[in-house]
Amino acid sequence: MPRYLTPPDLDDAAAAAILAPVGALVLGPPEPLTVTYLDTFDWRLHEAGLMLVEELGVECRLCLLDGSREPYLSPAAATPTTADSLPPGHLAERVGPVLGIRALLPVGAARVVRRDGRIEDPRGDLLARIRLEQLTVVDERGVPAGEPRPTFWTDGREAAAAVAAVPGVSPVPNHDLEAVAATRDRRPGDYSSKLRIRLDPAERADRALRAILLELLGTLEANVEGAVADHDTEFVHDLRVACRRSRSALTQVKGVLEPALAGPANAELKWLGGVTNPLRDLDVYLLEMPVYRTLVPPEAAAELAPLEALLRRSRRRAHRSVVRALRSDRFTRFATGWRAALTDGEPSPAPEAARPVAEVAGERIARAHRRILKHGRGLGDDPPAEALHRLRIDAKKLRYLLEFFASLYPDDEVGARVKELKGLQDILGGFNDMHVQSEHLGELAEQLRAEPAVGAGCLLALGRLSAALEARQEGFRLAFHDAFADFASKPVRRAFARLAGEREEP
Amino acid sequence: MKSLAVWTVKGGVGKTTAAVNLAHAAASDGLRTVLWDLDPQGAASFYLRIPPSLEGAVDAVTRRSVSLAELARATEFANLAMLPADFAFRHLDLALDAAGKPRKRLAAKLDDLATRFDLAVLDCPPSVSLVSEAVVKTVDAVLVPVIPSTLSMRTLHQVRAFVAEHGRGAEVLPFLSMVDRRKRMHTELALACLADPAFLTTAIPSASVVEKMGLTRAPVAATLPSQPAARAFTALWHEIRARLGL
Repeated sequence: MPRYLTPPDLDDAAAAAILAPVGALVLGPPEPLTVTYLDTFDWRLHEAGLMLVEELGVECRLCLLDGSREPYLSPAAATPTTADSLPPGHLAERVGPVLGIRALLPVGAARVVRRDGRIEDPRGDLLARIRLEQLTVVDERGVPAGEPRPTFWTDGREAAAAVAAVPGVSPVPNHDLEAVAATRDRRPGDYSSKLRIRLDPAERADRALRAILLELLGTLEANVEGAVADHDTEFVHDLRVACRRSRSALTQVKGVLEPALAGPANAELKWLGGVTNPLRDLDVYLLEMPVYRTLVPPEAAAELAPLEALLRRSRRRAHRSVVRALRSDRFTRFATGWRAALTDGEPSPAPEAARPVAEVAGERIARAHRRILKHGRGLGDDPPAEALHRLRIDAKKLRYLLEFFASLYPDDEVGARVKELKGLQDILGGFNDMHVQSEHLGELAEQLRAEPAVGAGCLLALGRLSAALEARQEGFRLAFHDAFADFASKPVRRAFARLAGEREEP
Repeated sequence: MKSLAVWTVKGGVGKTTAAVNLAHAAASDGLRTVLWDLDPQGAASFYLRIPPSLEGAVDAVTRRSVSLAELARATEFANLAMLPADFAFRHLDLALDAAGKPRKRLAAKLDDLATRFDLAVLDCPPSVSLVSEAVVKTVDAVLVPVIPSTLSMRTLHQVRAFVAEHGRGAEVLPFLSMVDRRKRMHTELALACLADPAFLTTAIPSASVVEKMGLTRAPVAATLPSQPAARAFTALWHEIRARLGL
């Protein structure tokens, strides 16, 4: 049933008169509320067709709208910020998996004076439910950002028709997400960590590359505030991915931008990547802690507490370093200068700059694909960790190229190639993670050994964990050959050659 | 989904008011709750202002093809839906008997409700019948209101014997209802009841606000939340929730 915007002068008596042909209007007392719409930074609830609203009045409750007939209401002791802090039951089951590791953040708020009521028949039976609201959108400081809007909602067909027929009444959506988000310069779905750029195959390669880099700079900058505030680990992660993608675009698509522009930017992006490395590593370990506990016997799992405490302490330090970097003049200078350089309309004098982007893209994808095949084929039965690490980087570069230029190809073509590549990347990534983690665990064990409060039980548990990680690493090594054979198979080679516009597969 | 039947073989002991107020307390507590009025008198439906016009109400119980979850009506209260009674329910015994396998049919209906709800509260007619037999065989718990009087306590023994004979693991949860602390016998018998560890410890007082539900046509917590009776129903619900492991 739709909601209607009603004239401001529609009081109780006027509403009762309009609805009189349907039945008698009975309204409850007014309830003043502050309603806050919650979602993740990347709009996971919105993308999943869910809406979560905190209603704060005498009590605090959470209202979930999921497109079903009835909203769901849950009492809440406090505003939830993560999946773990959702009230148990329907809300945690429905919303928790959608949030994943992302934090819930307020995306907009309004002050509401609500009156719930009903229309009843002469016997007092319920004919329809009514909700009258005066809604004022407020900004982040709680200051009104517009005039109060009177609205009317009902689930009764006849009541809706009676109200809709009144002059000055107009239908409005059943929620105010767009209106409240606008006060914070946000629009539902306005951020995604995925590249969503659309390129014209015939446009100049330098124009296309600038557009890609500009999009990536936008993603990088969009995550700065959240990374500093440390709402969740994904802000730094997304920021780093944007950084790596940008570097990949600069180094993989050479000869398109002039070196005087690309070189310094690459150096600054490398600095930013390096400065955020320790924090990301620690985030990964902390996110993996629940898995670590399952990798050792139950009695040893409890002994891992000092490890977690050390990781958390180190993380706090690492986060402070990231904050310093993101607030530094160096970062501001880079971001401002890089944006100015990318938006500068001057064509690049570089040799490949004027070629159509589709041509350049095909060449670079083909080259990156050939490099993986060459390096992968050269590996023996027992590939060393360094070689697998190099191959992982090669695969990542190809993945980025596919993502940059996805819009130049049919969706299902790129999607299928990414899927084939992902099969290999998962194995290489898993191998590398286990390798890095088990090596780093040795360093952490050394640090813990120096702490007087840490007993032998903890060090023994770390030893077991390290052994378990090495066993998993070995599992990935064993799986590598099959994964590579799949990727290097004739049909996949042909498909890549077709995508890159080559006549023969490599 | 958990299912809870409010049932006893004695009338006038606060069965329907308990069903309505407990269903409302569960819904306020965040459980998607459906109150199923199986009593042809339709008092629970009346209290929640839902007219007893469930078309094909008997068919909805006996036929597999009719989805009960789809027939549930929204009430004025958040998370609380209602399957209203129908006067035709007086023939539900016969219809269930004719359809055959009453327990299986009811279990299938509760499975259907589980697609939309976390809790079903069944307000059963105060009689020993095929319907009550199917209910005690199907639900997770049977909630039995007991007035501290000899007759009401005798009824509890009958209910326990019936559930022991027909139930399939349903827990019997008796609670004190309509307790009048001014009556010495009520106080003495109430104390005796509470010595039984199966009894829920919250007692529902005899209160005019509960009697007035016939006029307000709403759960007491919705109209007078600070009244002792409203608080007692909430406390009783929390006890039940813990016992059901919800």
